Amino acid sequence: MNCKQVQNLLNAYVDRELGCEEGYAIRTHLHDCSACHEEFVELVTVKQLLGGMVAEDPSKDFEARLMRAVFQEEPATQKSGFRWRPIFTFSGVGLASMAATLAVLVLSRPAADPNSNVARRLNFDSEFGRPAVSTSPDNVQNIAFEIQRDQIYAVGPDAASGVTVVSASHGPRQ
Amino acid sequence: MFFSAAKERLETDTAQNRTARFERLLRETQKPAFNFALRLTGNRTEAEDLVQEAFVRAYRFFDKYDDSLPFTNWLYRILANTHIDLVRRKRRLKTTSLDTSNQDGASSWEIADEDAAADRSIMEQTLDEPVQNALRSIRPEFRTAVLLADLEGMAYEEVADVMKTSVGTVRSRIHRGRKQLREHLLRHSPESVRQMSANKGDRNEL
Ligand SMILES: [Zn+2]
Repeated sequence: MNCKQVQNLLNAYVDRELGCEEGYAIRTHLHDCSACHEEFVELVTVKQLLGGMVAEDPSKDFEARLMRAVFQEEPATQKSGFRWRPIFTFSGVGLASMAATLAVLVLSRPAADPNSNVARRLNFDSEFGRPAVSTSPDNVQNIAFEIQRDQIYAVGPDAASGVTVVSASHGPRQ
Repeated sequence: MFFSAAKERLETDTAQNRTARFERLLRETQKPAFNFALRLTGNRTEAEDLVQEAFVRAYRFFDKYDDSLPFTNWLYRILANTHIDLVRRKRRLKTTSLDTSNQDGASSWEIADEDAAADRSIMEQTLDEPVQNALRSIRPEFRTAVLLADLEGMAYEEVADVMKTSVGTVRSRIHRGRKQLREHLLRHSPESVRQMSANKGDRNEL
């Protein structure tokens, strides 16, 4: 092998991506050729510099911001599948009448398990105090809900974007 | 009524599982993804934006994720493609024509990012600075390939899988990328390459 051939294979050699024969030919050449050997050492150094770069942490609130950004997106499954019709909006509805409506609906549903994924998700959403996307493909009633402490949650389409959201009514807290 | 309620609950659970699964994967991989993006962009803000965009896209196409692949490999594919999109968009703002000529037949990846160094925001002075500058001087597709190999420790076949290309193309990208990194470092901060090289006089190495 001449210098040109060796230099063309040098990075693959550094990465141990060559077969025995090519590897052996290069090793032999490097032993005898100081120019190629020098380049080889420098390439190994570059590889080590890259591998040795110090890992940095993202900002403290990064994970929370990611969660918000991701779960505000409408999941792909719902884009083609179900159309969500607005059942009611929260803006003009008083807490008392809404609670009454939901109470009626509660009676017609099996009791919600507080340890269910739904409940856990809702806890997560409330941590950030804002609506998040629900992925429930509810084509029957277009509404799912959960009552937790003094908060009322409902799943439905956001009036502005049409995206399905979990909405939270904070009542007196807000 | 009860039947539809049960059906509804089942569908809800499946969707909730999907969400919970993605949430777990996000928590597990956001830090390494940030570090990969940081080396790709050389800038914390850009890195965070890039990771966010990648996770949003990943969630949107989560149904297409085949879990025989490690999630990070799939995520890094999306992240690298998103990065190319961003570089291209940025470049389109500045120039009207794109030079997509290339030697390895993958024009979509072959767009230089030389503007990046010019408009990078202030970054803390670190030991990695010369390396990061060198990285920013090479084409993003070379940078991606070299980083996947050297930072993530992937074999060429794995890099090819992430970049959805052939092993031959990966070999060529890493070869050209690392060669250019070496040249850049020798030109701009020779001590970074030579200092370490001085300890490697032993020819029996590797
Ligand atoms: Zn030689």
